[in-house]
Amino acid sequence: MTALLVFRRVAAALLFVALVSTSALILARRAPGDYTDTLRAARVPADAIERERRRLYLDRSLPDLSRIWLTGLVQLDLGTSYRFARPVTSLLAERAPRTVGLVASAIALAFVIGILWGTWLVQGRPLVRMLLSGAATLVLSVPSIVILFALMLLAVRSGWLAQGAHGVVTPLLGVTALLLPAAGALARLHAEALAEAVGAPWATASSARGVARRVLVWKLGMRVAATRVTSVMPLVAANIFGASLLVEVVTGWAGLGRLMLDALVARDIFLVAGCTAAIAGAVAALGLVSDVLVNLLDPRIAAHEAAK
Amino acid sequence: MQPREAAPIVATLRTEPESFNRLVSATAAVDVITNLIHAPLIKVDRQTGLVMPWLAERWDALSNTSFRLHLARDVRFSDGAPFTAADVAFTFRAVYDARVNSAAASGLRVNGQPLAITEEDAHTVRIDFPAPYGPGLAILDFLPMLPRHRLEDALASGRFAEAWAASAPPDTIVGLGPFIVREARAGESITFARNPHYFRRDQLPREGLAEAIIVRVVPDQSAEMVQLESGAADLVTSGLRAEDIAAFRALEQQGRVRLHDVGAALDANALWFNLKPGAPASIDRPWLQRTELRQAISRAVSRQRIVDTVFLGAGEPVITPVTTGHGIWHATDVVPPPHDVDEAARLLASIGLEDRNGDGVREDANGREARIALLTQRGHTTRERTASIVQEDLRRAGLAVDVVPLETGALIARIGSGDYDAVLFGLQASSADPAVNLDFWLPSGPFHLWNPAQPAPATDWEARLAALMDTVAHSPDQQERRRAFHDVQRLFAAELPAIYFAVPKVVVPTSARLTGVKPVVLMPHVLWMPEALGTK
Amino acid sequence: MIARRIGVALSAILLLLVATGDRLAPNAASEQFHDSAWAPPMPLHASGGGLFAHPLALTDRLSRTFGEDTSRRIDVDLFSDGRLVSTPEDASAPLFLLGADALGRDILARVAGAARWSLGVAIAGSLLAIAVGALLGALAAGGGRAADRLVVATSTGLATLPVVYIVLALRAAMPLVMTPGQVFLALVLLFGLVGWPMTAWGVRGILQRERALDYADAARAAGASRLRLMFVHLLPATSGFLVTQFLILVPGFLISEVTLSFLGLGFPEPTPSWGTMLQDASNVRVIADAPWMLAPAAAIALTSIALHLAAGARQDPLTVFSRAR
Repeated sequence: MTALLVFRRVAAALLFVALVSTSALILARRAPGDYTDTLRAARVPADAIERERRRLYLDRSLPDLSRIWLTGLVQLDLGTSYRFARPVTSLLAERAPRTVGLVASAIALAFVIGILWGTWLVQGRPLVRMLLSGAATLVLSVPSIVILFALMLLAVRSGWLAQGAHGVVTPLLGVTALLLPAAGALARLHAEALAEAVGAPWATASSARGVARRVLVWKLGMRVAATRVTSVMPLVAANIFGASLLVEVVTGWAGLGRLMLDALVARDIFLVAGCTAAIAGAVAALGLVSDVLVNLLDPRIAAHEAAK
Repeated sequence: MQPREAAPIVATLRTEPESFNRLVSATAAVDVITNLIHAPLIKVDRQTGLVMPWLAERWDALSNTSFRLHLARDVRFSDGAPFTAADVAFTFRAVYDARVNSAAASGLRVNGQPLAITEEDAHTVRIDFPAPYGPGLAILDFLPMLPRHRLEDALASGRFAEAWAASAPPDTIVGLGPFIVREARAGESITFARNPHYFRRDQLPREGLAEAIIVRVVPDQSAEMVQLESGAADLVTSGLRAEDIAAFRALEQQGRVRLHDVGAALDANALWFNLKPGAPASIDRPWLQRTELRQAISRAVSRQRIVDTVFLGAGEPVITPVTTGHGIWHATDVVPPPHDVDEAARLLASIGLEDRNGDGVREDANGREARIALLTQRGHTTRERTASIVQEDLRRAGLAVDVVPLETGALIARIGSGDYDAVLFGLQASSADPAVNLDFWLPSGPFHLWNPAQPAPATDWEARLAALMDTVAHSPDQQERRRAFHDVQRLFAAELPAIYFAVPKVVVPTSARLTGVKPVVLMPHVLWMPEALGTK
Repeated sequence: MIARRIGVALSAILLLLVATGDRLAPNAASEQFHDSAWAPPMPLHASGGGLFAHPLALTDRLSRTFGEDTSRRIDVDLFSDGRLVSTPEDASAPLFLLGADALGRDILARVAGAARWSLGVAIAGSLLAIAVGALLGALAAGGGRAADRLVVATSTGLATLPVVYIVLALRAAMPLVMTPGQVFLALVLLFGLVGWPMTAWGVRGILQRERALDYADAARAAGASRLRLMFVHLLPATSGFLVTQFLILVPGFLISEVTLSFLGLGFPEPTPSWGTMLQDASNVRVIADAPWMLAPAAAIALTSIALHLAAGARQDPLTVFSRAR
């Protein structure tokens, strides 16, 4: 991947973040009601409310507001949250790592489990394959939130939750609920790609040359995993990330999802825009990482891209 | 022998305090912090309602309105600086400073006028009330004494509010309370250590005192309960939810937690109609403002079903906001009417609401459906469930109710603008003494929910209410104050400007190891008096 | 494929539920029964060809425990009185086959009645998203280079963002309080707005492939206009793909509805919806003491599995990721 190409991708990603977060800002500002409603209710005099609105930039026009936001974004100063009376950046620095931790561990584990599962789907005995395939279909079609409720029921019934392990068990349940549907889908994807690769003529040939089938499957498996499976990373990530919202709320995990929800409901416009920027930034960064990974792992794609 | 030190106590709090300065912010979280790190001149014992000498060790009443307070000697702030009358004068100056716009100011005015403070010498101050005030010096319970040497510059330069923001360095926060701030981690926890200069340290037990209290932010009540149950927390923000009581009773049997029954809650939920004359909703539905409608609702809704369903039986029916939890202030002869659907139907018919087309919903004389939009607070389970029960019981009585759950901010805005038919909501009680809640009782008060801020009482009964409350607020005779307030409750139950249904019984849970607990029905249930807290 | 047949059959039953869900249980979805809050499911007994259950009696209100009152019976009739399950008019107590919620309402009635709102809005939203996707896909394939680039760029941007967040942000930008009908309409429009990218990509791909085939050339030679070629000759080739897409989108939007309702931005009380019902189950203690409150989660799982099975085992596993998350 050439430096120019990387530069173009990064520029596109930054543009994407700016565009999406500004749209969120405008949307939140246009929404009925604003933050000073509560002041009006508390019988704060009209001129004090007017001062407050000026301080919070609520008297600005939408283009003005967008300009203020974008200038701030460039300097990484995302303004102040009304609701929390704290800089948005400090709130994000506090909450985003919790969500990233939850989502990233779910993604990583989904890939590891999915690839092992998929390999076994190709390798295993017929009965095992049938069971595994059924299980994959089952988990990939059950939404994370349902899995989470099922796991919580299990945990409560077995007493894991009551014995002081709440702080450890709850996030574990969350991660498990998030990774299972993705792992099931990745297992199926990996198995299909692998079966195709194993059936290819040159694979048959090397098998005839005496390369053990097990070795062949693993070698091919890694290659398939590195290319076709890795390329769906952004989709998997967006999927798991979306599901993490409800998982955070149900498990009481104080992450980005909870923060975004609070911000939206309180009409805390800079916090809404800040959260959106963080989400869009994460999504864009992941796209970049997956591109780089695919390029590194499969030089042919790089060659192909260079030729374009 | 070295006294034994105990492990830190962990208390959970659902929201983060916005400031270390109660003059700037008066939320429940700030209240808790204030009790830890600051001290008032006089403290009200929330178990008995009596005033206790605190930073002022004694006082003389010079007249109905004038008191001389003698400050305790050799009292030092947590940074070692001496506490004198100058700090008292400074605190009062800050509270009444217009630029500070203090959250505590309105509570420290009598008839809208500030108290006057005179420094007589370094350890004597005189306080003059603008008018006789029933609760007397109990008013000082809400005012923590601030260090002049730390905050004077900030007050002068208009930066008073920011000086002790939640993000301020811990060593700049100086107070007279039993604890000092050791470490604050935004959004997570605040650790408090014992104040080495605390002026009452000699009165505290010598053994088992907690050296530190960690206040941890846990936004979710279920998570708080799990932490308490597992021993990760010793104290939680509020009393038990009804659905948790049975399980915690079992835990108490196993010796894992302790439960304290502190009586009926002080803050009941009320349903009220917009009674402002000419309210938009009442123009084409004048029956919305009829007393008979409220009396009918009071009979049509089964209070027992609310107690049984919402509070799982752990509650009591009420008709006024003055619950049995208010102790001597509660008039025992004021009781709710029985659930009586027939009487409700008669009352509704008497104001022209009858089911004219047989569809199960009553219509007014013009054939318009009797339909009421009931606003309530979204996400507040008790209120949402009560609203659902009211909706169902009124449906059976032929009144159609649309329940509209709103975010707290939006709900308060709608109440403030008067743009509503009816609301189901509750106010937080800050004290059992009714004189503290004048903004609710007086027709001129901003929280006189059904028709706030009246220039002159709009109805005869409200004029009578105002006169009675005047006695409650200003009479120095405690017997007379109590009698007047019992009359207020009788008047309230007859006119029903707001319909009260039920209150829960408050059960305060703590860990089994916690000692020095003085639980009360007011929030914070335990941390109002944190000085003697320790562990076994 | 047996699995697929099962899926189709289940989906048909669910569709029936959307139409007739409110006539399934013996009680109305919004009726509250005193002393029945948190009642557990009643076991059914059979005797002499008839079914019956014993009423429940409250034994301890605070711990929400009930006992069977074996001295009395509630007769249960199937397929009579226009309902799947019904009880005689003069039954001594209400019948709760799936237990009761915190207000003493019949959970069976609410889960079945909620299908109309929760599943209904997902189905309508998916139909709209498919229509928008097919239209934009066709536009991209046949409308020139500029249109193609625009559609591809927008859909790429949209597809990488978590749909739940977009729907949440857009929904929160509307008035927070709306009637159930307004919420339904708003959600369908939102789903249509954000759910189209995968469909558009697929349709574009299929059309580009089809256009290169002989019959398209023949049609062109016969003088068919570009538009006519697109809509009459080529679009039908995508119908199989569109059906699969639809079956994949519905469970995704179902989750979106559940998320919004769970967060209080969906259907208002007392309208039953699977998301609002699950709010009651968000407390660990409730899950421990009253697991029947998870009935809506089971309904969501069943719907999701049924639709995935119906979509067929041969679907590209990748399509799973196109669901609305």
